[in-house]
Amino acid sequence: MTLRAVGLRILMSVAVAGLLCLLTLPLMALVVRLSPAAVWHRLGQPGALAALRLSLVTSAAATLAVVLLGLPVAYLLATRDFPGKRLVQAIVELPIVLPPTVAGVGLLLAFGRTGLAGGALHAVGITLPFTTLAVIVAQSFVATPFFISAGLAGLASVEPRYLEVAATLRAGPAYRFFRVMLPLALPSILAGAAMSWARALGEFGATITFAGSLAGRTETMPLAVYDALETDIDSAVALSIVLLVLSFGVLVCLRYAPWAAGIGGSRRAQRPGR
Amino acid sequence: MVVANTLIARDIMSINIRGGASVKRWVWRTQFLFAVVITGCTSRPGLVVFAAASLTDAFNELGDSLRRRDPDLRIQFNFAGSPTLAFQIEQGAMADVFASADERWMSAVQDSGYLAGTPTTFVTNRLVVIVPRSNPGQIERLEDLARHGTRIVLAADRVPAGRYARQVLLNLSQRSGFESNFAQRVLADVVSNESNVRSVATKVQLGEADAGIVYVSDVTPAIAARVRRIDIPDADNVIAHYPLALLRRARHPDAGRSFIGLVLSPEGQRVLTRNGFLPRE
Amino acid sequence: MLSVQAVKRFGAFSLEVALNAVPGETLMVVGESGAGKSTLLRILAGLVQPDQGCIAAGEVVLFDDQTRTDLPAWQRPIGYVPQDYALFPHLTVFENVAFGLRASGQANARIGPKVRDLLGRFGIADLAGRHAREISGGQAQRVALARALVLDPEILLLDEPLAALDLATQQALRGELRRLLADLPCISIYVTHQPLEAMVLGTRIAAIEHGRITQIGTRDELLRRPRSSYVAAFLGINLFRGTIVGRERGTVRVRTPLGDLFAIDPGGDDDVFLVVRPTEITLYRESVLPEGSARNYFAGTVVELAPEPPHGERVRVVLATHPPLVAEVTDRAVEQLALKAGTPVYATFKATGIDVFR
Repeated sequence: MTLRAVGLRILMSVAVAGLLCLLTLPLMALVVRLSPAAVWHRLGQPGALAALRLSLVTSAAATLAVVLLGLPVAYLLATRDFPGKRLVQAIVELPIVLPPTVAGVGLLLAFGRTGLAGGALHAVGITLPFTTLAVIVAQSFVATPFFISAGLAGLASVEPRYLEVAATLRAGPAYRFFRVMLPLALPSILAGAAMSWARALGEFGATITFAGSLAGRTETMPLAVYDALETDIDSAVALSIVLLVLSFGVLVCLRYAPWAAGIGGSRRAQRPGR
Repeated sequence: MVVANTLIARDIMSINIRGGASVKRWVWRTQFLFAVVITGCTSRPGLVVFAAASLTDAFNELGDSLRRRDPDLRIQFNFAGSPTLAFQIEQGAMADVFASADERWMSAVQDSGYLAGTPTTFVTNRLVVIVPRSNPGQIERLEDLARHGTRIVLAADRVPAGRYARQVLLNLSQRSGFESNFAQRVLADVVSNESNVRSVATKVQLGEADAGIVYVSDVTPAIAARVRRIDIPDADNVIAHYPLALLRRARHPDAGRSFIGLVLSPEGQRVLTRNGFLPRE
Repeated sequence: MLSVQAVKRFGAFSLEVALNAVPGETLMVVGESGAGKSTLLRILAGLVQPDQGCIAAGEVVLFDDQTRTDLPAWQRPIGYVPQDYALFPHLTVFENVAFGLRASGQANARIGPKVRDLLGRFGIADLAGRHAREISGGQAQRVALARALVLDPEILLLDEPLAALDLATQQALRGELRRLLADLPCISIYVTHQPLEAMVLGTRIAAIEHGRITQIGTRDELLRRPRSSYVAAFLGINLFRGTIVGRERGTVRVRTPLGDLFAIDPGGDDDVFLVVRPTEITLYRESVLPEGSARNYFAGTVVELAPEPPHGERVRVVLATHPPLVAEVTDRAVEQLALKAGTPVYATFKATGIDVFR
């Protein structure tokens, strides 16, 4: 091998090793700090359980909200052209680039008691800040773009010919959507939902700013870790490990599940054999 | 050039990375990293002061004053909750001076062996109740805090201001005219435990909270315009002693001592008093 | 009874057609790519809306721009088999065929027997549980047909159903398809670019060129009187338009784009069509003016040799004359003359081998 090729190899190896170290060392540092028994013990404490329960409930609710509200938007963006479409797409993607704390401030100024929509909400009897509902709203806000971009890609990749032939087979628009488009886009939609859930689970900045931090009501796991960090680091580590396992689990499922073999797999529509 | 460290640190903490555990990674790693970056990497002489959030305005003024004397001097402040600062120091952050809002966290750092000398009390502070100017909770007197359904925001009890606030509530429970379960009733209405006292002030001035308990020094002119004060009787109030100390790992011990000297000097005390603090006894 | 009158414009191109069809017949629609035949099919299916026109299937009006009627595809009594079949990849063969029945709300109990019956008739009953990617091209084509036919459509629309298959499968299925189409009570509209399919499978043929139907009629009518060189070339015959420029003892001299041809005098006007049947053309390697009465004599190079299915003993030879000439010779002759692409040859045919008509 030439000297240059060798040099290139070395450079590549260093880069790969460096990045993997950067990413895995913090995770390993977390995991080796506590034994599984210690983790279990810490989790058994009421504060930790409350945070875990709250996190699971709110992230599930947020994911559900994101999917139900996001599916129609993804459908519109995937199938229709309308004036202002690019603007809508940008708006929908905004939460990804917005620092979560900024999102939290925005939510506060919009839906707080004295916020833009605050008066209207108050009239209907809803006050958002400091409530569990606020946590769900904050999580939904940040998780939306994850679902919509995956859902949009999935729906857009469904080949029009399947929908056309379905139309000729007595299928109206709703039937086509639920029986042809959705099933074919399902891997992407599920992946989008999973990523949304993971993002909602890990949401911190917007939550702490908009919803505050109160055990059992708004102190989700990430907030609990933050709150425990300075006083009881082992509790923080235990909760971190749980979050780590959950998130990692989501990613692994996404990569290895059989139906996820082609995210956007319907693009490889099956041609009848030649 | 002083950065609102806490807010930025929070931002970094919530950097959008997929997966919840990542946030945890970043919580201490990046605050630490941030502290390291601002402290360790500079080659020009730079004094680094870690100070409790309530000292933000006062110390900024003092920093300007010090710079006027010595234009070559760079000063960086890291304002955050005292427990956060203590944690960072213990994790190895390079700071020269530590000013805490209570003796507990200074002792924690001292016990870990990170102090260069003994801490000195440089200022005291007291607590005050604030409500939004529009007073949505209709709180006129301290007793009204116990009214059911009031949205109260306090600092978390690991934060000095939070601990003091809870102490004050207990003290008030003993006072005649207050019910003996006054403290419990107020605490039952707490809707958020903030990680530093300035956040409490923010929530109150935005009108989101009906009432909050902060330091008198936190009622800066800007905030005073938006809130109303309800004073706490001296007898029931807590006197917070703020200790100040040079750190063992100080890179610029001389500059650090200058700063400490300035804080303790009449000029420094004047600045602190102007910002709402009370003199050290 | 299907009656169609439709106009559709796309930028520079426009499609203007009018045709009728009766139940039981199979109308072959032929044309080059871009001529508009797939568009016509999609208009009938309701996937493309014409700009003007009226389409009616018996009493039911599918489209009428006067009354602003436009029935969407799922409300039309049609069956559609697209070019690559578009079998739903997420469903089994059974569910594919059952799709239309389920979409129209039929009871589960009735769907099962109907689907199984049709699968059985098409010989694919054992594939019921398989998915689209697990079956061969020929099987997929049958599934697509079954899926369309299980709905008892009044109009069956087929877009080049054999084009996606290899030659051997095409041959095998062509016969099946012919029998099926002959037995179907519905109107079948079959789009193809293959002359052989057009000749073999349909009752009538409609030729589309540049968005217009240039001729519509039975196979024999087209063969006898092709109205355009496309139709003629499509049917594999040599058609020229010409003017009589000279008459002499019962023969005429006709000026055509190919050159001056000599044919038997038909009498009457000077504008005529000439058809030279490919089998009447003889090919030579050397420039030997042969003895005999053949005066129609042209030089050209071989462009293409194509065995003529299904027999394979005859070979169509396309010559690069202007316009091209199509000859048909035995493959022994090809051997003897050592013909291949690029070979220069001479082509000749007798005056009696030319049909003249108006």
